[in-house]
Amino acid sequence: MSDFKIHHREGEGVNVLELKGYLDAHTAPDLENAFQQLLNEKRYRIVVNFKDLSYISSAGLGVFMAYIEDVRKNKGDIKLTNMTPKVYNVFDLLGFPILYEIYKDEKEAIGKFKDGKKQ
Amino acid sequence: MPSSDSNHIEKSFAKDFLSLKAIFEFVGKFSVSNKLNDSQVFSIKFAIEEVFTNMVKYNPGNTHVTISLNREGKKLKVGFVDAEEKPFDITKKEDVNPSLSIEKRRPGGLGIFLIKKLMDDVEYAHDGKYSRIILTKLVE
Repeated sequence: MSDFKIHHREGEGVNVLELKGYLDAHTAPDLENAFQQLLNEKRYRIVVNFKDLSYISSAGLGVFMAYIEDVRKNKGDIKLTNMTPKVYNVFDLLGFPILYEIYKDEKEAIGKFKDGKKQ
Repeated sequence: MPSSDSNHIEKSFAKDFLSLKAIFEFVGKFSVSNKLNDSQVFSIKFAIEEVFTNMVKYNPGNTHVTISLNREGKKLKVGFVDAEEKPFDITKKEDVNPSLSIEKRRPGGLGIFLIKKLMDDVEYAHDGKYSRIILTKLVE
């Protein structure tokens, strides 16, 4: 039930992380490792697709807080897409929509990188 | 010993993040028998994880936390009992400010802030030996 998986793919210079399952205190280190690996490889254009994410706790939310500044310092961004209403609600309660760009679908988020707003 | 009927369920869990899977299954079982909706189940799982992981991180002295779920009409009560000599009252924790920029935000406090938002009441009591937390969620 609390399994969590990350699928990473890259296209057009944008790295997409697809999250699936439960992002909780036990599984949050997996997401930290995924972000850290992207930063180690100097990949700063990141889209996180939440379509198959069933659950997120504050441990998961904290991972996004931990990496966003480093990514933006390197002229990149972490854009978030395809959230279910339950997941969006916790982001919204924390005021995250003013901190992160959140899009309905992945194509739109990738398009924003291609527009050159943030490289 | 675990105890259960359709309106009350109680179980002790080892203080380890690995217990979260079993805790979510515990909540899932109760939610089905009490016909809770997805949004209510999400909020309850979230609140339980936040309290439980705080107990794991900040009070590692004893080995188990007892969690109970109790349905009383429109009220769903989530109880926690943890042996703890020094009280830590989560209701007194200062709220995060969701309007701050990233640069001005400090780590921590997100979980307790969200518990207060997602649940309808949070009670804390300490008797010198045990901390007892009761979260209440109004359900239809």
